[in-house]
Formats: sequence, structure tokens, C-alpha cells
Amino acid sequence: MTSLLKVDNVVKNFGGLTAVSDVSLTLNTDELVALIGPNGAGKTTLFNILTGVIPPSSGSIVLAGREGTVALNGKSAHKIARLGLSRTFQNIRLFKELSVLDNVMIAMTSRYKEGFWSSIFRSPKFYKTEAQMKAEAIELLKIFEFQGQLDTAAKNLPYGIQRRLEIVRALATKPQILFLDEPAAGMNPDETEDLTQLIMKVQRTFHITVVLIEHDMSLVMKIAQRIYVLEHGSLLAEGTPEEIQQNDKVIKAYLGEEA
Amino acid sequence: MKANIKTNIIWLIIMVAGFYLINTLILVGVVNAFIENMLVTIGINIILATGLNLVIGFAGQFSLGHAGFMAIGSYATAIITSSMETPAGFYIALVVGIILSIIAALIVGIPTLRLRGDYLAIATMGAAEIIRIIINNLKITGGASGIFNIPNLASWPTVYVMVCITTIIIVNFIRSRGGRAVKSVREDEIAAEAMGINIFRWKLLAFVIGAATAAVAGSLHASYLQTIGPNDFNIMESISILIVVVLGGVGSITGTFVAAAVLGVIDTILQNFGTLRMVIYSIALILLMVFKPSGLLGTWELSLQRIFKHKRKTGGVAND
Repeated sequence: MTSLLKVDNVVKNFGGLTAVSDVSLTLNTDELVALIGPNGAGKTTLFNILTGVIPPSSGSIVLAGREGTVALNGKSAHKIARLGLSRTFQNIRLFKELSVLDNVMIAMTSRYKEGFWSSIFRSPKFYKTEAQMKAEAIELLKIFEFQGQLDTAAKNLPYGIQRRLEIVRALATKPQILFLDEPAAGMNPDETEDLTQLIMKVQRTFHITVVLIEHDMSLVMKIAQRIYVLEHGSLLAEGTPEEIQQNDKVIKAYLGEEA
Repeated sequence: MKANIKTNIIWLIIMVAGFYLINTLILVGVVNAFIENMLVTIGINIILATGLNLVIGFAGQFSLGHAGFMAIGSYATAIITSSMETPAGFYIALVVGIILSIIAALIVGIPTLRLRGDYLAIATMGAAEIIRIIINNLKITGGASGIFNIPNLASWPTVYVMVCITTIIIVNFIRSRGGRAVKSVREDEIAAEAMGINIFRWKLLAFVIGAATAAVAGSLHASYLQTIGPNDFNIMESISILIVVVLGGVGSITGTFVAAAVLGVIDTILQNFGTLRMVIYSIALILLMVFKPSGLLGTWELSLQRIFKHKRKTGGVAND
């Protein structure tokens, strides 16, 4: 395991409010990390900073991945995505009107080059690239059992399946790190169980780093190798699930102090 | 691969057949000058509306400045062909118009495409007004009275070929990697960006293609009507193009064709009704929007490949 993403002293202020204050963390290759904390702790804000949706007020984010060592702060979201940081959203953000296949193929856009004129004049190269993209998308969708639903509009899928499609779409960008923002939100225990299996499968099959925000503690404790705890924008604790369960500060943050 | 070539050939046959059909109808006298004029107007409206549909329906960018780009194409053609009365002059003018229109689209698009929805509509509307007012105040454009006696170098076959070319460009763009990227921008900008889509670049490209096709339509308009003035390209012109798009179905190129044809025919028939014409026209629009708010065809698209698939299925041959 080598270090993949190094986050140092990241701060985010919204006017007078400090949403993330001085957070430092490290993500290693091929591991499953959970980010937990009470509501409003700044977990999603931290995700948004790391994936470039919002820039940090200060601090440094450095990725040491397949493209060498790159500083990520200040880069736009689409560039960060191309460098291998992909994500899902707390409130599902699929391309609702588009088909399952299109949703996945869109995520592959930046990895395939198809010249403008070549697509306008339908050159043989266009058909070749298009066929390659389609084959790769279908192969990926098959792993996640979407084969019968390639042409279904994303909005017509059941809720749990939409969450699954969002994960597949994120994988189609060929990420090195996959950020999952509350993937089990709104799911029943059966769906959560399926999702738990799915996340473990994704991590093992693709050998990528998975970072997970989740409130479902049974899920977190079952699959996370390491846990970071955030509270009021700052890092409260870091450790294995066992360590976190024993940590007094964490228990206090979640349950309040003993009377 | 084979199926692709097959559909391409069939589309080509349909286009050539359409040409000969109109040609024959003119020769036997079914289509007189009056109807030919209507067909040309429909053709120009198709070019304008497919371009705008790419911007509004596929890229989801609400632009109200389409007439401005049409004006650039019109004036480029009027000015250049007035001193170069040859077909070559017309094609040079066409290319110049397209290039100027692309430059204008970049100047307008780079700052305004960062805006969303209503704000973008107002900004593009303002940009089109600026273009119109510049034209209104220049000497070379003939000021407020416009340009007369533009040589007629665009007959109906030119318009027909241009409709085919612009439609092929737009449809092929939509059905490619770029088209998917553009649609993802329409669906959800934040998600698109998180999937590695450079949303600004794709929006700008759609906007520029729209502007370029508007310039083509403007060029044909100037050459066919032979008279243009700045008021032909005011906000009402942008809105009437928008009406074609909305009526046909935002996001359906087939719908744009149908709507342009239907409106063209209604408009021609209503010319006999004098002042009542605009009232009946407006009532027709209101009724359509009340009973079919998604437009005539919604997002439905004519697809030969789907027809083939359907045939194969109903034919009971189990391959593929």
C-alpha cells in the first residue's frame, strides 16, 4: 500500500462559516476508507473540495497516481475527474432522461477521442471508436447486471438500481479513487445488504481506493478498513473500525456527554 | 458496420428522391411559384430551427439570439454578392458569413454561456440586438433601409441541398460522443463535470454550430428574397424560430421538420384571411401548447435502424 492522495491542512470558509477547518488525511492505494460524522460535520463539503466542485480556501491536495504527482487544488472538476477521482452524489444525479447505456458512455467521453469532422462525416474510424466505446460500456454494465436494461431511461429505474447505476457510471471514468456520498441513504435493509456486497466487489475487482460517507454504522464497521471521523469541520479521530468504536471523543460526539 | 452503411445509403436515397419529387412537381406545374416560395421558406426555417434546437433542446442552453447570427449571414451575402454576381460569389459569401457568425458566437458565447436559463436568454437577446443595431448604423449595410436588389443566386435546389447538409451535420453531431456530452450538460451540469466532461467547451461548440447554421439560413434568405433590412432580424424573428423548435418538440429534429412544414403551410393558407391571419395563427399555437405541451413530437425521433429492428422482430427472424 502506497500513499495515493495527500490532503494537507485543507480549509473551506463560506463567508464567516468555516465548513472544513484544517483537515489533513491520506488515502492509500487499494483500500476502503469511510468518512463519518454527525450531520453538518463537513463530509460532503470535503468531498466537493476533493473532486473540484468547490475550491478550497487554503491547503494542498496532491495526487500521486498514474499521471505522476499532481496538485489538485484549483483544478476544475472535469480535469480532476480525468486524473482519476470519480464520485457519486448524495441525492442521485444521473442523466435522468438518457438511457442506461448513454449514462455510462458519457462517463467515457474524455477517454476516447473521436474527431469532430470524423463524427460529422461518419468516417470508418468514427464507427470503430463508437463500437469500442459501446462494447466497453456494455461489458462494464454486464458486471453489474444491467444487460436487460441498456435502453431504459435512467429515471425509470428503481431507486436502489439508480444508486447502482451511479456507481457504474463513476467506474466508467476509470477512477483511481471512487468517492461514494451516502450510497445507502434511503435504502431498506435488504438493499443496504446488496449495496454492501456491491461496494466490496467494486473495491476488489477494480483494485481502486474507495472513500465512503455513510451514516449506516453497521455498513461502515463491516467494510471499512480505516475510518476518519469529522466533527464541526475538523478531524476528530482516525483509525480502524475497532479503534473508532472505542474512541471516547467519537462516542461523545455521537451520543453526547454522560450526565 | 453493415447496418450503418445500409442506413446511410437509404438516407441518401430518400434525400435524392425528395429532390426529384419536388423537381417533377414543379415541371408538371403542381408546384407553382407561390408554393415554391413556401417550400423555400420552410427550408430556411428548418435550417434555423434545427440549429436552435441543438442549442436549446440538446445542449439545454436557452438562447434568444438566433436572429442575430442569421443577420450576419444575410448581410455578408448581400454585401459580397452585390459586387460579385456569380455562383462562386455566393459560395464565398456563404463561407464568409459562416466564419463571421462563428467569430460573433465565440465573442457572445464565451462570457454568456456561464449564465444559466433566463439569464442566458436575456444576455443572448441583448447580443442579437447589438448585432442588429450595429447593422442599422453602418454605411456598408445600408443603414435602416437595408439592402435591395441582391442578386438571386439561391434557387430552391440550393436551399434543398443546404437543408440536407446542415441537417446531416447536426444529426451526426448529436449521435456521436459530442452529442452525448452535450446532452449530459443539459441533464445535469454538476454530474457531467464530475464525469470528466468539459461542460463549457461543449456548450460553446453547440452554440457555435447553431450560429454557423443560422448564418447559412441567413445567406439563403438574403439571396432568395433579394431584399433585407435590419428589422427582419429583430427579437420577433428569434422568437418565431423558437416557436418552430418548441412546437415541434424541444429535443426532436424530426419534430422541427414537421413543425416548420406545418407552420409554413398554415401561414400560406392564412394569407387569404388578411388581418385575421395572426389571430388564427396565435390561436393555433395556443391550442397546440395547451393540448400538447411537449410539442408535436415530444422527443420522438425518426430512426431507420429502429424501423429495421422492428421489421426483423415482427418478421420473426431471430438474429442479432
